[in-house]
Amino acid sequence: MIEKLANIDRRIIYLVIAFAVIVPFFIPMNLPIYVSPPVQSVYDYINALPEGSVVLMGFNFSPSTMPELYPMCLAVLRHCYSRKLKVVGMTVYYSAAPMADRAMREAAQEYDCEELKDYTYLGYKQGARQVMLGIGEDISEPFPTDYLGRPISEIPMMRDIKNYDDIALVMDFGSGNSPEWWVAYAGARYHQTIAVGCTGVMASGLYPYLEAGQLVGLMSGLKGAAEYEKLINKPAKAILGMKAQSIAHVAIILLVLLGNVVYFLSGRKR
Amino acid sequence: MKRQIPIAICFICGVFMLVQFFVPHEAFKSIYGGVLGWARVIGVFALVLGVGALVRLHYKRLARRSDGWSYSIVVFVAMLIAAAAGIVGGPRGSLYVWIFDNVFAPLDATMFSLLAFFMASAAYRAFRARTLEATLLLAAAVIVMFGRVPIGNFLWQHIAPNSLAAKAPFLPENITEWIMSSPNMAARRGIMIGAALGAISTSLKIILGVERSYFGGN
Repeated sequence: MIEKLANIDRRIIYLVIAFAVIVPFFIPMNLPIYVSPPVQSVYDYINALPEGSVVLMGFNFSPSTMPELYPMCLAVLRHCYSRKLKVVGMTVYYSAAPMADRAMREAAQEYDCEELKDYTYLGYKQGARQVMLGIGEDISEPFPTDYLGRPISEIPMMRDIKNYDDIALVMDFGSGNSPEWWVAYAGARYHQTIAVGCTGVMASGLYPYLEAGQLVGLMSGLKGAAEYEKLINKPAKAILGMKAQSIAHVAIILLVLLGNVVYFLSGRKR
Repeated sequence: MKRQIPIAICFICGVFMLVQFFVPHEAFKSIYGGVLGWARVIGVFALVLGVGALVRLHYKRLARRSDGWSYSIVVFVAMLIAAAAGIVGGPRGSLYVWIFDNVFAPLDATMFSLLAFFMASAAYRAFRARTLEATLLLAAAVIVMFGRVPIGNFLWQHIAPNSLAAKAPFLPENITEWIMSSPNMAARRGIMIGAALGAISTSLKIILGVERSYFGGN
């Protein structure tokens, strides 16, 4: 028996994980969502911004991390639009460009926000660090036009936005190095206030910036998105996804514990 | 001269970038703006080089009928269709968006989601409490995994003795938050400071011409 468990077919483990992810979607569960202090800080900061303040959003992730970060983007966009903040979107990830465009428009429709008046999407620009530094001098240098090629000098809401001095918050949704770049190039050099939404695995690396005050807040993974959805009172995909993620985590914990039981019972041979 | 000129250029540019950070004069700002522009232009050249290298590689495969040459045809066709869709229809063109939604996004997401299965299998086989350090790591991982999902609180509130759960209903998440913001952060901060000091020392060596490995060779 122990030998069988020690040499279990990996396909059985794959099946266990598949069931753990799929089945919870069909089972009603009411899981308590606790709002962690770093997420609360992001919410509080945005909530305290005066109407008309500018939030620059960096959508720097690829479709591979979309399940974690897209709901997060929608939740923060909804909050910004509901507070009548001006949102400027951009990306330094070529693969994020269409997703970011969709997220901005999808959330805007719910609040009757108008493109170019309440929000503007500048699209993708190559050279992340140069773009972040360039915005500090003049945003029209890295982004002379918006996503559709319209000169930003002709965009009503962009007339009052020249550089970081006119931006109340940079909110980065990143699945790579972009949060650290914002801290180093926009935060350290231009004293820009920054908040980050990142994938779950990245969070541990960003805590030093959070504790040092270089980030005003941090949302990590689908859990961070679910917490934000709870804060804005708009339950959506992140809260729904918590069920699947919860059961998947439990399944992995049980597998690890079982693996260790087998290891000790087999006399630590493996 | 072949070595001295690049070292001189590297020294001048390095010192300029260092000095301009502390001097907010208009002249410095203007040159700095130009440098940023140049850096972006060079970045775009990298994209051109990337496409060029891809085309050359797959053209060779096709010409030599190497193993899997038929996949090179897929590369060329996909590249041409995606580029044409973007150029002709624009970034919101229906074909471009359709390709992104129905080809690129599912492929990218599928590759990444496979990790969950591999990680679960690897965790079952390799995540063992072999030593004290491994046991500590294992315990921290289990606590964080429980604390990062709401089911941790749910189970705590239903399993723990009533008085304990009532006093601290979100204890699993609070412990996780402490692990992340104290031991994890302390370790990360040490690593980051060490890496930053290393980067500063390497940068200085490059600027001063001590480190010359970027020339290539030994």
